[in-house]
Amino acid sequence: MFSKHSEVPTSFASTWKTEQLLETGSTQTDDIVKKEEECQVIEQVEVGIQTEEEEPKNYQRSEYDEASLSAFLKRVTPKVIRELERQNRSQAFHGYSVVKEEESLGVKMLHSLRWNQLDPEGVVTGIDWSCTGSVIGVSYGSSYHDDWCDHKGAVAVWNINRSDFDANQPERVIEASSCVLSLAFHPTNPAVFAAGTFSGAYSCVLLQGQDIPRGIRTHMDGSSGVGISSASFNTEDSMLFVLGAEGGGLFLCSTSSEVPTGVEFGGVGLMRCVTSTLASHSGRVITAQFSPHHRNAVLSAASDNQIRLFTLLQPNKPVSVIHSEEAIACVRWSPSRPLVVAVGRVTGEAAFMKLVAVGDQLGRVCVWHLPNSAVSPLSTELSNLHTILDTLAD
Amino acid sequence: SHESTVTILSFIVDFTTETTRIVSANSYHNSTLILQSAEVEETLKRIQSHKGVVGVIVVNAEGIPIKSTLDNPTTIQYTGLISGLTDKARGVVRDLDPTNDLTFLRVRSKKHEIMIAPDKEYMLIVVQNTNE
Repeated sequence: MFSKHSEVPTSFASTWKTEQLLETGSTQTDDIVKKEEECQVIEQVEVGIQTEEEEPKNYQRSEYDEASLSAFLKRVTPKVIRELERQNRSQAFHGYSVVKEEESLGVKMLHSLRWNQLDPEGVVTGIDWSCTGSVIGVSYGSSYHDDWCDHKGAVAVWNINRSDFDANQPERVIEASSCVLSLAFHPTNPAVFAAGTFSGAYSCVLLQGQDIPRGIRTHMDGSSGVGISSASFNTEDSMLFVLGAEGGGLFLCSTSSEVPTGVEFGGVGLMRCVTSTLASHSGRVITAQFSPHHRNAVLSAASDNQIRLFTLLQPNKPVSVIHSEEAIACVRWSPSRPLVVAVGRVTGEAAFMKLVAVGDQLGRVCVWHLPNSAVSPLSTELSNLHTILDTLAD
Repeated sequence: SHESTVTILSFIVDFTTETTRIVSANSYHNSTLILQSAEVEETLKRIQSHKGVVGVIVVNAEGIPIKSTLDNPTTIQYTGLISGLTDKARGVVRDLDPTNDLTFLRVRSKKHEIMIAPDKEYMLIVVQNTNE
């Protein structure tokens, strides 16, 4: 039943598997070439330089020989005096004036400036040129206020001499927390201007290279007194100035006053500056301005549609009163012609009047009617005014 | 006082005419200088006070103002501009006729008349208002 059985393994090659051939091999990478090099960071040194306004050289220290100077003057003086006298007596140039051939008497509008992001209710409240005459600043606000001012006012600045000047895009816009009502550039520094806002704050702004101009100083006028709407300094007496007030009063003031009021402002005691008054208007004074040509003449305009011309020698009665048919927006003396006065009306008209005779006779020179543009009527007026004054100036 | 010291010295040191002559010449020279300086000022004042004169400037040969009745910045502005103009005018006169030379230059404007008297060493500039 059970027999010995030896099992013999048998093998057979796979039909699908193939034997793998193995071979040893080795690789060696090339020698990696390394190089070392040292370098030194350049030492940096910072130096700051500040320029100062150059004091002009005092020329009187330069040497000269008294003797030769004296001899020169002796030689030359009689001739010069003779010429001076001759010039005084000469009638050669009387009535002679150089007439340029292409003098245009018409008015050409140079630019119409507009700020695209202006509030639909916003109007132009003030304009000023910088002392160099190439930058114009326009302040924006709202003319209608119920109570506190909720509007965002701003000042837009254009540089009309720049190659990338765009009349619709101001070079820079400085925003304020409330309506900006007045604007004035610094008389000698073209990068500084002062702006007054509805909330009583006024700030000096320095326009620098960066986007956000630095406010130098801000004041808050908290004391309630008479609201001042216009101020102007006398051209000959730099301590005398005239203020136009809300109630129609015109006050003559002096910066040299010594009488204290007892009110402190910013740590400085305020002085009573009003010295006398001129005959007041019956409405809010819009403009009060000293004449740039005559030391006694004052021009004032008020919301009672009256323009008054005063002389300081007769303060209680105006020399002349002009009644305007329409409401007046502003009044200015011409800076170049002593007799010309410009009147801007709220309808967009700019009238130029020539004071022909002291009294009630006033001859009108010319009237321009400008398109009533709701957003920037004063911008176009000013450009025209500029051109007009250029063509009318002697 | 320097003057007086010199004069006294003349009596003490030497009585020869030559020495006294030299010494007195020195004191004369000093007093002449003071006199000349006063003369210069007086002449300039005389021109300045003439009717209509706005300012007087004296410029030396290098174009530097040495005397002026106007303020510093105005003086420097006038000097710089007028020196250039005078040189140009002189060039015109001499180019037209080399034997001729510029003696006087007047620049008339609407508001002023500028009179320029050029010389070898100095130049006098007088600005006068026109009487129109």
